[in-house]
Amino acid sequence: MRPILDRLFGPKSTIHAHPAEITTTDGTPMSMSLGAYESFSRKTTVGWIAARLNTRLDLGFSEGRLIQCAMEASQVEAPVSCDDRSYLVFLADRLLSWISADKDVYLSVKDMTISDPYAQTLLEVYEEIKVSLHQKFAPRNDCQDDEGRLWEVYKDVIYASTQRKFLLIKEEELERFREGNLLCAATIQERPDIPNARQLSKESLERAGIPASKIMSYLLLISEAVTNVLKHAKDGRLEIYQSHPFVHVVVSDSGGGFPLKILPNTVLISGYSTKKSLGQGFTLMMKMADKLFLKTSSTGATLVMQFTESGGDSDARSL
Amino acid sequence: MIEYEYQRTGQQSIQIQLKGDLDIDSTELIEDRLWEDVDGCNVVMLDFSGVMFVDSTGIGLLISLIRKLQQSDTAISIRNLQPDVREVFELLQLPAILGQEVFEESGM
Repeated sequence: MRPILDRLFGPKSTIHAHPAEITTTDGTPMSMSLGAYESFSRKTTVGWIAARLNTRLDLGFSEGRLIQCAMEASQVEAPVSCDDRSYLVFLADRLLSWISADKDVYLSVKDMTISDPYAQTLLEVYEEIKVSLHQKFAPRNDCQDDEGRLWEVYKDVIYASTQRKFLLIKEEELERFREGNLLCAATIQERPDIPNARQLSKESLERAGIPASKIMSYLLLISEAVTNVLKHAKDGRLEIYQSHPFVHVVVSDSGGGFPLKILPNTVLISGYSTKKSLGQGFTLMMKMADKLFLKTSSTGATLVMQFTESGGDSDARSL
Repeated sequence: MIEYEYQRTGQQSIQIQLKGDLDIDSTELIEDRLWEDVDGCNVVMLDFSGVMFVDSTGIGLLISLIRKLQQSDTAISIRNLQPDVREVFELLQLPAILGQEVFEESGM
């Protein structure tokens, strides 16, 4: 337990007169830059959310102190103890970040494994204020055209109906899957490239320490993905990255991409194929990869298969 | 790439030993050469002990071959599946597609 004064006023280091943004040294009001105003506005909102959490949780911190705490925090990180004012500010800051990043708050709370009653209270407060928060802080959808909106709908519906296993992504989101160690890369242009790509993958995965028992399922899916390049596009490229705890198999092609209209069938219906083939490639990937990400546009498609290195014994038959 | 050897075990029966990987790169060999060798036989035994890898495209080739043979009432059996290959056969429910009798001696 902290001394009572600390609990009431916080550690000394966090107590300052006023945040620098709103007054000059001689105390006269200063005209702020737009950036500073936005930062100020955000911090005030974090404090305001923290105060609501405080009220609901009946913790009895002073509202002014909470807002001050929010104003002073430049980078809010998870505090060590939970019975702390700064934890409320941290939660409030997270909530606002999710909204700004257009993330689903319910899933984010779940993923963060916040303990009750904080998780429940955070969601209750979110329910109360979400309309105004979204208006003010959610990103303006930069693709207001019909196609962009349609893409968003497809993305959300496919993601939910695949139990968060298949996610449509934008070109710029691909970068993060190319992080880590590049284990191997190969060009895919003609049929002999398929067994060659498998052989190369096998050697690279063995060198990277992937257990032999798992390599077989990696190779099957790699084979499916690079074969799709030949069936649906002209040429493409395979890259495998190791980025603990993940292995990302990135297969890109310069074909015409997947039309949105057929995506639900491709992803969700076993045996669906636009070509004369078994149409089981995606079915196997959905069964055996941990997650799939697809960027598709008129300049080509990139499929990312995510494997979790320590993902237990993924016995595909049990799925 | 896949290769095969065969022995005629009777006037209209043939044993095929497949060796290698069964994938898109095996298309011509299965659709053209192997088909010519088995066409007209009424007993065909496919020995898979030398097949270490199969993907859905390879299975697609196998299904078309066996369906064509089944149309002319040829008896087909698949034998000696490696565990990894058997697993893919099971994942893609091949016994249900081709008939359980094809796999009676495969260990599935």
